[in-house]
Amino acid sequence: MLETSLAQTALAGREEAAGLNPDNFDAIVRQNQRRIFRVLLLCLRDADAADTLTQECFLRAFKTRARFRGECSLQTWLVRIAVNLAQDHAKSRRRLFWSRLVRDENILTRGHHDPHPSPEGALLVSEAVNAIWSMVEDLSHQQRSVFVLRYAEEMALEEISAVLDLKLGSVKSHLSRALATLRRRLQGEIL
Amino acid sequence: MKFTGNARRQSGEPTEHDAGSFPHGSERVELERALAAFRDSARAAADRPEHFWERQRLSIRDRLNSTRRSRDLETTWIWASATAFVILVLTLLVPRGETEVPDIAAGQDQELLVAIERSLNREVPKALEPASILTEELDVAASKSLKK
Repeated sequence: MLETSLAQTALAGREEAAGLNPDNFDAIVRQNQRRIFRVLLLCLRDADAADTLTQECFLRAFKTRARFRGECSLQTWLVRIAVNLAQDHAKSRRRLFWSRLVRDENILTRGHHDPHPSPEGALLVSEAVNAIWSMVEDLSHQQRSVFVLRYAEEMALEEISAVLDLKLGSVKSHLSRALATLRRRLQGEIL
Repeated sequence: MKFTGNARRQSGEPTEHDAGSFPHGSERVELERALAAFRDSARAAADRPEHFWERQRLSIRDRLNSTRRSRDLETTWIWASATAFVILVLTLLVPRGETEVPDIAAGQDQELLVAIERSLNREVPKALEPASILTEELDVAASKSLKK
């Protein structure tokens, strides 16, 4: 069952690799740009840098398309390039970017459709979201990547493992530590 | 906020993988709610109007075309430089055609030989010719006066 699934993934990847050419590149960009931008924005917390690196990500993908053998999906490959770019970028300007963290609650919480109509419930959720953003800020790059890919991008652990080129056990370990940190924060703040 | 099976796994909600770090009971519910709110806020934070995506695509296309143009230019320069180098090397290596210089040298040698020949055939060396003429004239004058 697993072998069949892997074979299907590889086949789909090879088809995508074969299709990665100048003619359909625009369509690939259109299909993936939102996700790549989101991942970069969550990793860097800088919209301008995320925009620039999104472009860089697709340019790099195009230039190195010959190296894409289709071992994973095209989307996974693109996210991997994006995370690597974010890592390189963060290394050089880590402090600067994090000092520019947007702390506007409206921005951080505006997308949440609060199921609790009461003001108290809304406040609790808002505080929890802020606590998570704050916690994400303090995580190491690796842990942040794992956390963001898991809980913002809803990627499967195996996929995260492929994106970050980590063993599945390491992904679980990073996630476990991040969740433990989050629980402590939430217990301290609202729970 | 209840998730089951693959839907739950795909949604990023806690699975058996996360179980070690996930609490139970009300804390779990609160954590799930907070994570779902985080996911929504993350998506909202990255949400942009359509013209933003369109501009980004145009920018990518422009940069891609620019990269291609510069690569083409680079290729052209490489080929032009290589061609110029080959032409230069060929120019230096290929033997040139016969020149007229040896003929000039031969002509000069010939002239020298003729001059030597003439010098040898002279009765009097060229440098002494004026003195020789003077002597002849003196001889002629002397013989005339003797006849008188």
